[in-house]
Amino acid sequence: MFSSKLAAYADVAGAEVIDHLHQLARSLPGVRVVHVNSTRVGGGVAEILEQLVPMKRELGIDASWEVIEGNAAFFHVTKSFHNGLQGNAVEVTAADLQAYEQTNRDNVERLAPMLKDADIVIIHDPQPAALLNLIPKRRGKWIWRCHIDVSRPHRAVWKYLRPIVAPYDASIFSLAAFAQSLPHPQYLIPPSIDPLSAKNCELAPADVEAVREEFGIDPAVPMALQVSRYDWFKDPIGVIRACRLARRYVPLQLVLAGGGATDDPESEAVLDAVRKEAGDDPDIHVLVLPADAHHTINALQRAADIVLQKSTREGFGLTVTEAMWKGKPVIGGDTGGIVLQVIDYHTGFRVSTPEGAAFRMRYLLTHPEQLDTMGLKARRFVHDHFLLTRHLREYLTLMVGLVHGSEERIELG
Amino acid sequence: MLDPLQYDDPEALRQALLDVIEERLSETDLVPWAPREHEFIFLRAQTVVFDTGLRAHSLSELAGLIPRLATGSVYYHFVEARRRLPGGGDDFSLWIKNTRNNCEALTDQLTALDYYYASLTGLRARLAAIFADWINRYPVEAA
Repeated sequence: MFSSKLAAYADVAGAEVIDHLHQLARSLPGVRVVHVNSTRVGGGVAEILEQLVPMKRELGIDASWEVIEGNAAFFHVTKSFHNGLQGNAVEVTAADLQAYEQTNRDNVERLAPMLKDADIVIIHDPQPAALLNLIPKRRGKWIWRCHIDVSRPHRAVWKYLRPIVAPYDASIFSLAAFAQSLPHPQYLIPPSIDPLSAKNCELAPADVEAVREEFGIDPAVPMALQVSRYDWFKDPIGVIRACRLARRYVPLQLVLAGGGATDDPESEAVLDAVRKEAGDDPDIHVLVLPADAHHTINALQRAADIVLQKSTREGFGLTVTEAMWKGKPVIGGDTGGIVLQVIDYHTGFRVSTPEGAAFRMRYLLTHPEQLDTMGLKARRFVHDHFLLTRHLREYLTLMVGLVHGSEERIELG
Repeated sequence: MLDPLQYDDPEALRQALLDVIEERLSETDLVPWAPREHEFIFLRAQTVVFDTGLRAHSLSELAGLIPRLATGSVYYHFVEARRRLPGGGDDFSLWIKNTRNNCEALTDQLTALDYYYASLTGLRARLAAIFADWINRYPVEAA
């Protein structure tokens, strides 16, 4: 029998999916797993860990989540790493690298006792990656989980980070295109959404209406929405331009909804540029939401007619998954994990320019039957591929795989 | 062109594919390029087999289970089996041949089902339809 939380997931994903999780967990008796990242709130990584770690515990696995602490200088350099890994030519000084290494050293004393005895340590992204070399007497397997689009990293940044991540026992990337030349097994695990979380659970129509009213969104005018951090790679300026192009032909209002994460010092500058571009246009709503505004984002996604994610680089794009789960076709940038989710003419459209995004918005708003059909397909696609239960199953499978070495077939049950 | 259906053994298919690539590469002085994010990528997989707890003792029981199968089970029994079973084929056809007589018409339909053109959800629906149709026509044999 399943516990009540797992039973709730069984209702959404299917009972056999939960049974698979139990079968995997039973083959990992007594395994202790520690996840480490750099922020407790804000951004997709924290949201995933917030759900995955308690689920692992419910399955009987001794899982925990630790967060490294850093100062502004540390987050400045890790943001540069992030941008560099996504292909931007960033400048990282010796002082930056010293701040990065010093922060990792500062965290070792607190984290080492737990990490050196863990059976499996999963380090998320570059921020805490240097911990491995600082904890030489480690017992378990260490895995570097990279959530970033590293398909074409800036050479200087990768040259510095590669020797840091190469000694790991394995790494995980969201897409095959992100895999790098590394001397260890590389696993592919796309992230997921939690269908029961405040951001994705079903809402009453009155809740959606209340959020519309709160932000002055006209229910009589079609609404396009982009939910994302204010980040150049999300191309919010391009989204505004696309909506202005589309608006020449169809009535449309745009909502840009985002916030910052504690590890992103650049978002203020991007937000300033977005506000300047939007000007005093009454049909463009630029919203700055706190990191825990999950209910509001849920309601906005349900209120939207079309959801955009016009990124120029994207690790995965969980906001795409969220929108598709709510039955919305997505117009997404033809990059990164969006390619895995937005299947042209089926679950949405992939675009590379504001003009392309405008063209597809016009199409969907003038073909409402297509909008509905694609929305249904989008929800089904997420159900089959991108729910939390699939994500957890793949993490557990990876652990089982590490235990069984390179065996091609592993039989459970 | 390589037709994957013409190869019972994936290793033979892989070798044939490598031959085609090597042959093309040997014909040119410059290594052809691929646009960003459109590269051809070779992957390796470890298969983890779960016990679904589902058991069928007759064709009609199997037909009743098919619509409820997880897509992973559809993949395992109908697609992955071709690599696993000596001589190829799928698990359903093998089970029918080993336990039933006079069901060639059904196994022929399963063999003719081209799984390359359907999603796993679509494949499950087509399998379910084939079984349901056969059981409607031959209820005695299905018992």
